[in-house]
Amino acid sequence: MNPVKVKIGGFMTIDQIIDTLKRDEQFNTNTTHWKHIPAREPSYAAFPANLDARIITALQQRGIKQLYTHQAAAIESAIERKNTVIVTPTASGKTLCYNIPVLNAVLKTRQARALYLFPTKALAQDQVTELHRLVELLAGQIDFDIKSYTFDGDTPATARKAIKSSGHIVVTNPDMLHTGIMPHHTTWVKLFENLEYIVIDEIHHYRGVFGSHLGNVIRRLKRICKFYNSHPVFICCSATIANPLELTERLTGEKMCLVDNNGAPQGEKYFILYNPPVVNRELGIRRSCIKETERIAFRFIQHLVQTIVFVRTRMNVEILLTYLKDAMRNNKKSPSLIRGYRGGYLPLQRREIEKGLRDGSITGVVSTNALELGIDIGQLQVCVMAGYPGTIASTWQQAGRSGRRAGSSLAILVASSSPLDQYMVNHPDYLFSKSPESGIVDPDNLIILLSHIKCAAFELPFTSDEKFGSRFDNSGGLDSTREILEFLAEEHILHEADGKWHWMAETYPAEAISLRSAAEENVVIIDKTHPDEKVIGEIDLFAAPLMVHDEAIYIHEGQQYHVDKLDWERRKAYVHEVEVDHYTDAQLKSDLKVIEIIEENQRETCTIGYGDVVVTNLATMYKKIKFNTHENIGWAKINLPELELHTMAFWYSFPEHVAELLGIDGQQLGDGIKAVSNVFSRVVPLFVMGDMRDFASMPMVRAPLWQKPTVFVWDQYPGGVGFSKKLFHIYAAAARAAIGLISGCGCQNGCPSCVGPVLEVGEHGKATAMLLLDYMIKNAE
Amino acid sequence: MISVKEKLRGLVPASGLKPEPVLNKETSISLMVPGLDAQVVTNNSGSFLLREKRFPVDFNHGGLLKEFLTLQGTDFIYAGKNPQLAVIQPEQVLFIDTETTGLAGGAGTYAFLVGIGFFENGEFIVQQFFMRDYSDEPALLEALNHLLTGRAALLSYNGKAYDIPLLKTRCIMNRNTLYWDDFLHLDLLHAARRLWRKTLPACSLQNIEQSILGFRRQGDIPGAEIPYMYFAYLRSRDIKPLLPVFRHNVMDILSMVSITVKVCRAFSEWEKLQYEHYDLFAIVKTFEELGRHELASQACSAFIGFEAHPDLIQFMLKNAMLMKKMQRFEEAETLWQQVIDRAAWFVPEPWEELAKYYEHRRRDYAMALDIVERAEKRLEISLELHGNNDPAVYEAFVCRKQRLLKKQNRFLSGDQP
Repeated sequence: MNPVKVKIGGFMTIDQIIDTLKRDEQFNTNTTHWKHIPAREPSYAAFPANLDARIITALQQRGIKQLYTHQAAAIESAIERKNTVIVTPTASGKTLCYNIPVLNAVLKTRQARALYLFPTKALAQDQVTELHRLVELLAGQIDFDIKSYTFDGDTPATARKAIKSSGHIVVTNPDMLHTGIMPHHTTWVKLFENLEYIVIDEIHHYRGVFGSHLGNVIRRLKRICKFYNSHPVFICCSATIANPLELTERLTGEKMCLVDNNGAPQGEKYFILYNPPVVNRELGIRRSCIKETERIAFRFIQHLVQTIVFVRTRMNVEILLTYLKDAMRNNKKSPSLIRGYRGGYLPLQRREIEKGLRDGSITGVVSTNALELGIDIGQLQVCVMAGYPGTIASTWQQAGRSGRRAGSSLAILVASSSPLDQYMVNHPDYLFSKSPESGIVDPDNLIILLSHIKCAAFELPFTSDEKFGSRFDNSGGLDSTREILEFLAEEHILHEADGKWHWMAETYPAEAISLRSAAEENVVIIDKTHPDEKVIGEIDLFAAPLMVHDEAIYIHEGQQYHVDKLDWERRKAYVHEVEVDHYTDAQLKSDLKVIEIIEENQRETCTIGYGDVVVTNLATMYKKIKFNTHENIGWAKINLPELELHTMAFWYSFPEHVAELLGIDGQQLGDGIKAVSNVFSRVVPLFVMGDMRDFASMPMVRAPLWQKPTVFVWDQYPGGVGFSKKLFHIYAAAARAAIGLISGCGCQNGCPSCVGPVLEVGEHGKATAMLLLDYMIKNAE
Repeated sequence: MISVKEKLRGLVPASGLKPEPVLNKETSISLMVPGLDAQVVTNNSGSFLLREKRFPVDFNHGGLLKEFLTLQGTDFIYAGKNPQLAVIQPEQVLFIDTETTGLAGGAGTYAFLVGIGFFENGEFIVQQFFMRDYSDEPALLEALNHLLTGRAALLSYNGKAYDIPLLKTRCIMNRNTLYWDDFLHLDLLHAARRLWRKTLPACSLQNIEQSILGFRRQGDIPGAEIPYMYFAYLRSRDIKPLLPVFRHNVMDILSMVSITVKVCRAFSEWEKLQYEHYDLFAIVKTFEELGRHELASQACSAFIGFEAHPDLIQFMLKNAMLMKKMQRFEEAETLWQQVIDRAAWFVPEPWEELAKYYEHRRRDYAMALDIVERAEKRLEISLELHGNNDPAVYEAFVCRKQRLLKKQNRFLSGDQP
């Protein structure tokens, strides 16, 4: 089918859209906040004095007569060889902040090299296009070529040699650096000997597990640089978060300078917070966020207004895509104007969709956060977010996909009934004022650390006195390095000879270590619909029992598949195409044991602490849920082995007699603890950047170790990545937010949007939770 | 407080390996192993183990070793498809083969055994440089550097992709200055692939030994097990189980000598080859790519003599193109005509070439037109019978025909062509 070519925005302007929305009464009743963000004037600064005149000439040729204030500050700082982190909003011209110091270095010394890291391949490719434009302008003024290349899994073998020896700027992603470059550093001698700058863009993206991995990838990178006697400077860019300095310093392991005096202009923007209407007041049930998003997005798409729709999960991409395509069909419009976009699609398919968005042949795209980062998809007019994207930084980046470059644009956040969403739409200040959320990483997570010490030993043998993670000046580093080396030697992975620890295995460690997924092994999904079986996707080990258990309905690319068999031993799920009117939803049963207390604060009124725990997860059963009506049409058991998670948890214990203190009975206390546990884990992401899936919680009326009513909140990653420790310090603020969430919720006795449904937390759950949270705040220091 | 090690034991799934005790932490190992015959060598960087084996030059290893000494520069040119190899003298060649701790490559893969073979004073000597432990590596590389410095050429089997990059990496890791890129290098695997890709299931050294040298190794070890054998040795310090690895390495080097002779002879005595066993077309192409058109053409003519050869048409076309390159157009014309007469299917090339030849060289537009029209007819027939013509080919003939018609008209009307 040929895509219909449409002129972008040929049918409605943003002003017209705003106008129709304003006149739509039903829409307005559900709107909790209507924010108009006026256009922002630029503020400029002179070119820094330490900048090569040829670059100034080149920029002027490109029409850049002066720099924005933050650009000038960042460039000056980086040229002075200070590690610099730039914190500015989307589309503020941050690429110049690193491209200019890098080109400046190459003009000064023609051997100079730089390494750029982007979280995705697509971003890296865009970046090189941008660099080429700048380099072309310099070409007339210099007698050599400045070469920049992407280096990733798609780079043809024939091009690799030239990139290794003559690429001034190598643009890659952390995964490729980890598996493709560092293990082969001896073929990159020119790069490592002359490395002047390491650029890490979108650094706020590296949080949690991915960030903890990146911290270690950088530790390895610095080790290699030291071997080749180079001392590169870091330039990092981040979206607005609460702790950009802390995060980048943790990731780079070096002292950083902060530049955040944004001078970039901004187009006018409308930002609407929309809360779907309540359909059942008692249960606090609202109309489905996906259905509402469908309705809202469709009104734009049917008028051929280019619209991007963000959803939280890959599955929702497919569900919403199905809905929207149906709506198009019913309205006699081509369903091919709407496409899905998410991880798991093939690269070529993705490039085709990106191109379609740029040239206007695609009107609507339903995407996961895969499109949130700066992949060039041109200027869309409207962004609809089905649910709060999880972090403020993501929200602004997603909203920024409409009207990135200037001009008016519209962003609509459609709240789901998830507690976080409900908090957001009812507390607009949280979104529109200074960000309270922190990027948390823990590069010292033992499992992650162990993986990277293996890789590091493969790359360069360890010396006995070496401390992994030390700075360029050799200070700092991990005291436990030696003990980990000994452990690996006992496992026959390393071998010590004359005070050096060598890799002693036939395999290649980096290959087995994924920077992004929690489990080392993924479950492969194999389609057996046709005689020639084919792999259609992968799913991580911890998610597999929920997503691809026997008899599950798994949705991929809008197609439903029935899981015939999950071969747990071989990590394979066999599926075949089906067309049914329902999907499946699996339930998880968890248990928790405290192994070691790391820090604890025991008071008369309460005990708070965090430490190592073991959580056991067991997928127990699944429900079949009908599309559209969401009614439960059956269930069955899941027979899969228990998964054990060694991680870190935060806990809060009330005194044994808390029920008497608050004048409630035992039943109420049980329900109340459950309610607090629910609400607490739900507000954590307001302070700690992460996905709701990254945390889990559990109430215990009598925790085995203390015999006290206790709430546990833990990291859903082996070894933990620092969330629990953070929570130990900010739990009172979280409790306050929890009260804000509960009091802002319109339900009577509790609903899934605040403390959990009445069926789960009882008639008094909501009220008791308020009492308990109030107790927590009053007794906080 | 739980120790880091204990935590790791809880977090990491058990490797399944029993914590096998390191039996002997001493670097000294017993060399009193029959058949080892090795000695410890010490230099500025430390020490390592050197094993040396000597073979008389009239030793027969699928051919006499001394035959290698009769090879000349031109032999190496053809075998390596590289004119720079002309300067190689057989006495200067170092045969090289490594045994490594892994097959994936990368900075953490070590060459624990480096075997070097060379001719000296009427003998063929194989020297094996062995790391008794990782700490021997600097000394091993220093000795290797010493042996290699001043030599002109390396000869390997897959060394360009494997052994040499690995040794280069080892040198960088140990800050050893040996500059590997300076050597002339003949990689036999490339030659073997050219000659035997079509006739052998795989061009592994062992396969070629069997099919070309005509013997089968007894009691050899599978290559994939070698890293594990070395790791087991590192833990046990018992070198005896490694003896088969040393022997495997010697065997590889000896076979490289004999295979080189076979490869070189294939190019120098191509008249004697049996086409069932060699890719003769590859020989012609090698000559051609080295600019030896006359020789390539001679070989073509000779191979055309094998009436039953499946690539007969290919040889004729190649020969015609060679004639064209040598400006011997009449001979080329005859060959193209022969292909047209003999090919049982439609081959576009001779038609195109003849049309070009008549048009541009002979300026005989009538003849050119005749060829193009006949080609068109043949294509139509072929479409009728097989239903699968390449439209681009047909299109090209139609265009050519139109251009020719115009030219002919202008020519007939008296304009200058």
